[in-house]
Amino acid sequence: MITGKVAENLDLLVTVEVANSNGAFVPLEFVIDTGFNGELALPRDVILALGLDYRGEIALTLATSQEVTIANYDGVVSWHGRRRDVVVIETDSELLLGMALLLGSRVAFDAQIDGEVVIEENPVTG
Amino acid sequence: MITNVRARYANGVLTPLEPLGLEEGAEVVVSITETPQGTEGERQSANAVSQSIEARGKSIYEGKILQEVEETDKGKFAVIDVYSGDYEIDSSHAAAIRRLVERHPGAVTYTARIGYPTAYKTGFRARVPNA
Repeated sequence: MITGKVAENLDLLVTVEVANSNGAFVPLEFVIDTGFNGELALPRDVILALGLDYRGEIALTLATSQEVTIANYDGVVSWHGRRRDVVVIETDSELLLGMALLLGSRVAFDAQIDGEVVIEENPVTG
Repeated sequence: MITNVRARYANGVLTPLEPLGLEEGAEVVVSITETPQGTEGERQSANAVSQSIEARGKSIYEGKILQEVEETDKGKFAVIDVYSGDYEIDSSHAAAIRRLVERHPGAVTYTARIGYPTAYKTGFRARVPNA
């Protein structure tokens, strides 16, 4: 089970462990972003600190409908107790956790400041 | 012939970040110029490389892969090794990358999403350089 809390600005924050280039898992705090249909978006300094492998370029449609080309990297996260390969895209924003990573999980939260956020494996689809 | 390409150094290996257009087994002389981190120059150089990878990837996707995909492939990711033109299609982006990299270690890829203009969409939270 992955847990977190509702921030003062009502963001849903969760802590997910991401592997660095030495294979050690580093806990990082992400904002759950249901508007993002990828897996993880990380800023460049975090990607460099983790030492993720550059994999290439992808096209991305922003909320403004603008299409941009950005870099993607190979990532590994600890997800429901198992290693999972993920695609990390490079953005200038906060650390974002998107819908593609949440596929097969159930997200629940107490809608109040400091309320609990829980991501658990969906017993039916997970 | 002299060409300038960006490359990344890691674990004792220099990996080109754009296609070199060399014959397999060709020997070249490498001159090293360090790119200053976080400068406008680095940003522009990175943009040029990213556009060249995108252009090559798109041309392989539109020229070869689109003809071979089927209706059931809609929404899947086509991950293309821009050096060899080899590719993998899967509903899991990471799985397609893993299979392609098994065949082409260190592959530099372009990812298209079949039936969509771009691989991903973001909400208002995501900001990107130069947008």
